[in-house]
Amino acid sequence: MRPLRPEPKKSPVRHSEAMILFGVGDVTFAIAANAVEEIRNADGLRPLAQRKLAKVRHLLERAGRTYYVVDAGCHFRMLPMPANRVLILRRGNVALLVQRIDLMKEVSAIYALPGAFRGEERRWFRGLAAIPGAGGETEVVPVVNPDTLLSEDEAGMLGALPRAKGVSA
Amino acid sequence: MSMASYVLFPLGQKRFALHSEEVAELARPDRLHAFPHTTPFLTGVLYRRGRMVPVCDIGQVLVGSDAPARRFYLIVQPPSAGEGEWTAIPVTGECELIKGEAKAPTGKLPVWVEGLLPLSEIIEILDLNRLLAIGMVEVPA
Repeated sequence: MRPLRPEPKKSPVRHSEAMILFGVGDVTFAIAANAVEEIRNADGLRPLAQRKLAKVRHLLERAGRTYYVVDAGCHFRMLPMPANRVLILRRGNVALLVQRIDLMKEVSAIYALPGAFRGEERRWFRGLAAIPGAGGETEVVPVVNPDTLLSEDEAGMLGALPRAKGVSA
Repeated sequence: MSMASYVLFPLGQKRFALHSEEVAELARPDRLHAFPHTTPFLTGVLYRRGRMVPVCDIGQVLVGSDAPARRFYLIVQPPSAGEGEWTAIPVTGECELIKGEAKAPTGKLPVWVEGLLPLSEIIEILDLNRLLAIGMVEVPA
């Protein structure tokens, strides 16, 4: 066998970044805090009259803007489960429906997703964060890329839909 | 084919061989960190010595879903992987380093069998690149 040598490993990108940790089922995700405008409960979500995208079933009106609410579990192809927290994102008209908000953490390094991962996760995630846990164990948490929650095509598809009752264009 | 070094590893009742230069170490069970993805056969990552090591359960391909619980991780570097890109393969028992002379594959064997080692039983030598590429479809960034 090849002896373990000090291989030129890929160094993580090191800079301190505040992350919001949220959960869906038993998976914890991270998203950059500066990508999030507001965290709120799911009150006020309005159902879309027509569903062209399985992951977008609701709209949210806030400060004169309409947000498309992306169900995080559905987006990440997880089993359906109830969700009642909404992360309203700064960029685009997108909000993210999640099951729980865990906490905010300062993350000092984001590792690139290993090249063996070749599926949709390459779009979903900016990388992986290693977060020290309370018990000394390290938690590895995927860092969500907020810009890919709703593609341009998907947004266009939704924009062509008639709004649900009471939601004007 | 000439004499070469191989690492033999068990998956259930069968043993398989890898070129020894592709193998870095045999690691004890470590915590598997799982998260959503769509790449076949990957089960998550190990966080080892400050690096993320993807875990690829090739047992599903080689022996089906009936293999017993995997007890160790064989840490390998496939020839096609970038420098420093390791992959962990769960195996069911201890590994063995041997020297042997490989024979060319005969008959109908899967594409990932690059040769055969005639020991007490015939052992398939695996082409890691082909094996790990099974079912993988690249998604454009």
